[in-house]
Amino acid sequence: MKKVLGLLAAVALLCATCVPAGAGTYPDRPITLLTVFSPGGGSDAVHRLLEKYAKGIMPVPIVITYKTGAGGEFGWTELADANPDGYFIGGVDLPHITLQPMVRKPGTPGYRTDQLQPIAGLLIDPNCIMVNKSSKWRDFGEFVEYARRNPGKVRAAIVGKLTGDHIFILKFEKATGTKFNIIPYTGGPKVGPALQSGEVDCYFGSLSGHFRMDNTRCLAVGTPERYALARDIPTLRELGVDVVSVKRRGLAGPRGIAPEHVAYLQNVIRKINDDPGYIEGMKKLGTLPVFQTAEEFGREIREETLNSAEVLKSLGYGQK
Amino acid sequence: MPFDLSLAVAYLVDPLHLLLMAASVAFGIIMGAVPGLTSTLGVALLLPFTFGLDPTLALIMLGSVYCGGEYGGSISAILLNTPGTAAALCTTFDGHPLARQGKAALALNASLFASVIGGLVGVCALFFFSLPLAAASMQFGACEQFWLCVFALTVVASLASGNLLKGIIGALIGLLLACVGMDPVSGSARLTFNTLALAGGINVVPTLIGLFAIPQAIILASSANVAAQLAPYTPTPGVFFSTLRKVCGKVKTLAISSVVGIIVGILPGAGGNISSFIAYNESRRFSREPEKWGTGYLEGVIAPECSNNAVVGGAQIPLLTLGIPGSAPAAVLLGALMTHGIKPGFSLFTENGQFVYTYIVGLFVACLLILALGSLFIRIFAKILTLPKIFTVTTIFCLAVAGSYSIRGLSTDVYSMLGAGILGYGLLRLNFNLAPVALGLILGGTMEEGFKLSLLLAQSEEHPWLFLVSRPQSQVLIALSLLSVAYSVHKERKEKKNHARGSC
Repeated sequence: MKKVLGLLAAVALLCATCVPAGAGTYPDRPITLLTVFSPGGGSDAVHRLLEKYAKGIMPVPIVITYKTGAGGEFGWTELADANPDGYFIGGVDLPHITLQPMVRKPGTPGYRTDQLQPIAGLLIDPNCIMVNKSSKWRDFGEFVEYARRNPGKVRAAIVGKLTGDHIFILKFEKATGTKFNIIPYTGGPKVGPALQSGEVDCYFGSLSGHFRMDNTRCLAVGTPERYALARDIPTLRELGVDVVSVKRRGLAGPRGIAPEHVAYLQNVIRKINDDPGYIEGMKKLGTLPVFQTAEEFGREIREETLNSAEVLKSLGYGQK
Repeated sequence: MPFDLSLAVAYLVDPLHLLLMAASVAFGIIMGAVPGLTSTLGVALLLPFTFGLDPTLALIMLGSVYCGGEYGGSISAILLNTPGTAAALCTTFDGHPLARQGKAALALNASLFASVIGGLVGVCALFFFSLPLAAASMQFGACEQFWLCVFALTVVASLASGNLLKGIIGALIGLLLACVGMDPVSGSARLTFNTLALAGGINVVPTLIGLFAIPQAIILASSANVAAQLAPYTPTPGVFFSTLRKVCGKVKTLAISSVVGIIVGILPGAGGNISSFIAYNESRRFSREPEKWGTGYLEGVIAPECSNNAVVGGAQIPLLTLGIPGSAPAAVLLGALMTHGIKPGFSLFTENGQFVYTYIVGLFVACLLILALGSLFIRIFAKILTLPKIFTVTTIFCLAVAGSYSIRGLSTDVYSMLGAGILGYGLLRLNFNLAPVALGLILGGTMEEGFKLSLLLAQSEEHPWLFLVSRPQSQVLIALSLLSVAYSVHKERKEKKNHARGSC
């Protein structure tokens, strides 16, 4: 018995010494993926798809962890401060990560956008204008005409203040010369009933939300060209309004993460995007998978930063 | 109704399906019973495991977790005076005193029966009245959200147990705590002292855990005899059936509470946490012995438990018919529907009737499973009371810390739990009742949001200043609130008179 135990101990010791020797190859242990929104939500659903389809592509599993609160700000601060060893990455949302640091009360600690190292872009979710199915406006033209003639009277729902939805409606107001009575609700699920009962007249929000709701009509979508998941909805540009507005989701790590690790993870995501099951799963969530390399996604973030800063400046924010 | 009941039943009695449902219910009960873990989290955690299953089974399992979780919260509320969920808070008022009187088995069984009955009534409402009720719920907007909270706040008068002033101060402390963080509508930071931790606001559940569990642990630990037990516990044979008879006799309380649960469940933005307060208060108002409530009165356990389980059925009415979740777990269920490619709406009932009605019948079965599993769990959990106090105190502390951390993975929540615990202990020493503080904290955010959104909405009206009081739906709630206050004042006067006469 003692001999067996001794042998076991020797094997264990051997294994233990072997592990550091193999540590040169990345990745050699599970990669933690941070989700900054609640479990079961849209962001989580996307991360669960990544977890599922990364199996077989990566030798190690993805482990999902949550840090929710303050519209993602808590989680992203944690991500920015994490050890950049390549084993802690997180989901990031555009324009959220560019807006939050700009509108944060001066003196309050928190992450800065440039502390996040982009890894890959995952999807786009266009902004759109929704009305009740039985709304008095039959098309976009009638809607804008009415809004122009009744400044401040049309109630427009958005989610949150100084969020992607908010920037979208501000850009729209500027481009069309309209003025809405903007009602910031605290979450998408709350806007649904408000739109259906007629408490608000329209909703400037995400198209994935429109797919989720019954009895709503979409007047226009903020993509540059017609959107693959909703070919019948005209774009704002087609309708003569020069506004492009979409939300994006991607992955990022703390700044300082090794370039070869970024490249490795980016290629994993690229391979996942070849899986028809993944594409199908994303479409079911009402979002279009659009792969972007770390560099492309980074450029997107920088552009969005300039874009948001401009809109915020007109409101008196973002002088920092 | 394009639906065949025999097919649904055949689907549900399949041994594998039954087993999975039972496992889900058990998982839900445990999630609910552990302070800090909620039915929302339970549903969310199970969600990824159901991706590969057929949609009917997947949804039934998630629904079973939801049902189990709403019941489970009462177990720790009764045994440890620690609400497992915000909705179970009211259950501590009478449930824990009962346990301390050595009647833990009675309280636990009563909460089990009340939960099952409430759950069944809620599911029946979902089965029979989904479509008309959903249409009616759409008439409730931001104004009504505000007035509903005002109505719920009138409960303070009866929670304050004779000291109205302290009750009001307590509720104001709760409302003040609810103000910390970002303004829900304008987004500006308040009372945050330039820290990111406070900018996210004070999370309700850890604060509730701290408020109730920590003072309980301190009091237990500071009493002289360290070896003593939390409460005497003697299992009496036949308690199951004698309690069943007692609970079934309280038809009035059960009826009021389940109707309150269904209505509050249907309304978007209000869930079990608000319904249990209203059900507690209304049942007490119509009770023949209102003065006994709060001292270990059985109906004080039945009312909130019956009501928060009726919410499960109610909250799914707008979910299935309109795609609008009536509560937080229902929002996760919406996500589950979406991942299985099912779009909720009126068309779901007409085109996919077999699926949706099988699901509803499945929820009915889940309620019955709670009855079976719950009576098993009670026997295990009730043993907690027979442990020496030293174990209970450390368990309460550990659960409070672990529970508040696990909600969002933030150490800030542990600090707010501890802070609330110290606050709670201080207030108890000053003879404050903690329930109004909790009520203010729970309602604060919802109430403020309803109020501010109404003010913004009013700007599009011709007479903006009349908007808050001009809608007939609002007027009903205002009238109810006024009646509630008037009744409390009247009752207090009468009691004082009686008291004065008695002392002469």
